[in-house]
Amino acid sequence: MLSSRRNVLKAIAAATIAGGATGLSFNSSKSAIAGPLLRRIPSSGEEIPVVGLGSWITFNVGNDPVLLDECTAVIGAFFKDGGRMIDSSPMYGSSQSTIGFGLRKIGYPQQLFSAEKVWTSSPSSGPQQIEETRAKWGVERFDLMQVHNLLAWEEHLDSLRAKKAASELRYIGVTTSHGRRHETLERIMQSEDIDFVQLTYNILDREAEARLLPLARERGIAVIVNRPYRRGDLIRRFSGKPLPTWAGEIGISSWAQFLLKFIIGHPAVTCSIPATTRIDHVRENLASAADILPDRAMRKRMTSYVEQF
Amino acid sequence: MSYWSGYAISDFLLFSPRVYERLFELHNSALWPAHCVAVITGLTIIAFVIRNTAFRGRVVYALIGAAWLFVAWAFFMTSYQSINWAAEYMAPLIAVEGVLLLALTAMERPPDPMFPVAPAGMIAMLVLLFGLLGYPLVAPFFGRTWQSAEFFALTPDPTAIATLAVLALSSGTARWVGMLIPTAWCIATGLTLWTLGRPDFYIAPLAGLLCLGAAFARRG
Repeated sequence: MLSSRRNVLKAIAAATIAGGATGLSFNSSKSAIAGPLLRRIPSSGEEIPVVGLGSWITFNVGNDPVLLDECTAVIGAFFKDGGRMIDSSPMYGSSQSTIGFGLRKIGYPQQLFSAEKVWTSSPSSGPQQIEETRAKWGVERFDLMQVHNLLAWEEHLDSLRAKKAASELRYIGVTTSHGRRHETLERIMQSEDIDFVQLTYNILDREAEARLLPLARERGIAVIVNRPYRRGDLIRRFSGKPLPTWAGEIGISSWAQFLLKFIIGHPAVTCSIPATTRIDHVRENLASAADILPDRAMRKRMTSYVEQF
Repeated sequence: MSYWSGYAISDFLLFSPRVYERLFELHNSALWPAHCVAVITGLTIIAFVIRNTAFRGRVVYALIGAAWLFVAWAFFMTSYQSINWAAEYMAPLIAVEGVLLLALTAMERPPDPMFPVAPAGMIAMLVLLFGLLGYPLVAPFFGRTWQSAEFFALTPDPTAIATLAVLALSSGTARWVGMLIPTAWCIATGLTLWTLGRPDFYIAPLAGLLCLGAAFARRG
């Protein structure tokens, strides 16, 4: 069951109290209950909703007009319900073009936070790839440009820093996924001046909790979490299993919300980016961030609960 | 190399089962009525394999070689490339197979696909019929739409299967060279479909294996 009005008000109070410590606040552009929670980007203080929209697989639909329209509807619903960050990569097939198609159709919402990646082993090709990506999105510039999966990261970061200095980008970062190369990522976080890291973190893949998430807080680096549902595997794995009776205490009514709230409940997480092809799912994801999030004790309870399956 | 070693097969799956099925629907829609030409080509290949004519090998390999070249352009460079950036790297390999098969027709004595009498050859013949004419039934049999049916000379799976069958029916050592790329494709498509969770993932690898087995058996 969804939480009662009283629980929601308690949630708002709790989140407001916690805000000072976690960088958490409510989306002031929407009603307090309906809008997704916001988290601060440490390097700037700018606030973004704690749930974004990924595009891996879901937006790679080629030139299919039916599927392009479906993706556009998802993007439209995402912005309508208060979303901001859309993340993509040159590795994701036609996803970048699909996002550009959708944004053109709905008229480039002002709240768009565009997150992209550079993915080439040739550092000299990076700027050209970024320009091609920009043309596909149809935006003036990207808010965030990340080095995809740490490929040629040293050279690309130099180039991205120069672009940031020239105001061609607002933020820069690096990404990894599937728990790969965490040692290198840690080294980069310790030594490089970056705004964002992107990594895999979910209720079963919690390696990042040990060092990377604490380090991100210590170094003032925003964290984007990919693979929150392990490409849907986690939802399939737990569907059919009962939600715990106490899930309603934090407004959880589905396994998707259970899994997403666990992630965004971590105070070091700035934004999680589940990907979907369905409007009801994008709304459910954003609704997960519209009320109380689990505290540390609750998150521990959540991991203990799923580990019994 | 260390960069790629951290990836799993599933990491290279860029699309969903629905998108892949829709790809074939749109591909078929764009190529219609080329399907009629594809079926006539298949029937022609069967007719030449059955009839013992002096130029049997040349005609059959010319038709199959042309089919590979068409698939390289129409499927890999035009359709598949829209959802898989790796398709533009696959297309040249597919075209190379087409050129190789066409080159066989220029040989003084090209491999000769003979109508079989032995059991191993009969298996290859059945696989050939399946690849040339039966493969479009796979999609509806496994619950997909008729519009997403795959045809010889228009899509790679039945083209690779039919090619391996023709090569298994043929004589000469040159046929082994021609088997490399179709065999690799049968493995690749099997892995792709398996990663997509498709129940028919085994069909192309199994057909390829039967043809390779038939070719080895006929060698003895």
